[in-house]
Amino acid sequence: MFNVQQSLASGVGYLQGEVFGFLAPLVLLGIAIGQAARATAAEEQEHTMDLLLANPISRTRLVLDKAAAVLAAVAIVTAAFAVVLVAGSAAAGLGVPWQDLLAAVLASAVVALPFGATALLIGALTGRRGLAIGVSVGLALFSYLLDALSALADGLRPWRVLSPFHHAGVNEALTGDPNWLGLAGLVVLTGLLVVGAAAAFERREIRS
Amino acid sequence: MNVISTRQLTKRYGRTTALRDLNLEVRQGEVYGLLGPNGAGKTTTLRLLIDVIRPTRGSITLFGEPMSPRLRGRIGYLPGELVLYDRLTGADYLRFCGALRDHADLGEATTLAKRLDLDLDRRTGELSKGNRQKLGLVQAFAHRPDLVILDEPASGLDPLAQREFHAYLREYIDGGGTALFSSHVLSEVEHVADRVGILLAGSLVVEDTVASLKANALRELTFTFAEEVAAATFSGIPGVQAVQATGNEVRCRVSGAVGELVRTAARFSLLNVTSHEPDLEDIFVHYTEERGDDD
Repeated sequence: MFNVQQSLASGVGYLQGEVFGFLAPLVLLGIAIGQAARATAAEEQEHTMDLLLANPISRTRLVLDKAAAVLAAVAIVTAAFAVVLVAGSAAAGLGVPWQDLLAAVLASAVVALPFGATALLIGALTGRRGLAIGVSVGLALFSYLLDALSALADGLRPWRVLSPFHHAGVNEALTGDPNWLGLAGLVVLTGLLVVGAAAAFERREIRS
Repeated sequence: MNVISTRQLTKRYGRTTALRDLNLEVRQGEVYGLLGPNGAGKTTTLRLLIDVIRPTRGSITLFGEPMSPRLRGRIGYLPGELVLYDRLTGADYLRFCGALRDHADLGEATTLAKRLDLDLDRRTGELSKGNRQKLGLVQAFAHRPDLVILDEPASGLDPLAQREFHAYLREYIDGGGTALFSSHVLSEVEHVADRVGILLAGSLVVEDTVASLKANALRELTFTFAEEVAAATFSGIPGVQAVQATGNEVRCRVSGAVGELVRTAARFSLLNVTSHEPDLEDIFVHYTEERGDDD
């Protein structure tokens, strides 16, 4: 993978390459985007939305509850990742402090959130689950590559600020230098996208 | 008091007008049947009322106010295309609705389920279409709403369940409820509705009681005589049209009172008269033709 800054032979290098460079983003992005795209769009496409909206809850409340459910799913998987990594790293003697592991896991989870929120927004705007997944996965892939390649190509470097992966700083977190400000920024961005999704869904014409 | 009131309610999809200038008033304590062929705008109307789609023009008030989440707690709704969460049992689904509606008491739901002979312990995905429809009805009434809006409530129900549902609906009305439902089956409307509105191509063409609708509808009468009778004998009688004579048989269509027609027929040696009750299609045709004449 591109993000390997240290040799695979070292503990940190192994984790960067195999876990945080590949497995963690794949799983966490998959859950965030998959669940968020389902949130309103799947209910609409499967025709369960009419009945759901006939209940005395506001559409904003519905979107916020759905967003909270996605967040809960991401949190559960993140916690499982953290437990397995801390235990596994100790057992295998990878020599990475548990605090750094936790920070890296958290950063991996937080970077998935804006992409999940994007899927939520597109689902709320269009009612199309496939489109929500496609656009969000595309954006995630583009952002990931932009961040990874900018380490290799100087010409790309100024553009990497556009990538949430740059601000998440997973690899830096793993070596004891987490970017808390960047992570906070991603959380704020996620919040704005969720608010946008709620506003979009308030106006949405539910398909019959 | 009007429980439902719409003013110039209009819904356009691109160039298609699904609903045009609907002024609908449903009074407290009545059953209002919205009749029309498929695509006439019935479902559009009900979905506008429940606020899942928004009007292009016009306004809606329910219980005298615009729709709000709070107001939805007073309304029960059955969608035309009913899809439930397959993995939940009927009881789970009702508990889920109860939580959203802040109405945990399943007493009313259990009563109606029993009356409709619906097993609430089965997963909705395993239910037949008719049983799913029953569950749809049960959830609509579960929280004892003040108003029910039902899109084709009898669809998929067997005659026994239909009769039981109609009896329940009457009791619900007697208990102070109000109902608006859509149907394309006249017999259903006949049994339960106090008033009927007919939608054709997005416009409310007539609004009346079932009895007077039927009285004004075209009925087909067939007279069998012992001799040949000329068609011309019957043309010119008020309300009679499309007279056809074949051998000893005369067929015609008539609207309104049939007295003069029957008296005329009785002057010949009349063997038999058969009358076909107007079905909804005849009534639709009648009003479509009428509208055509106006243009």
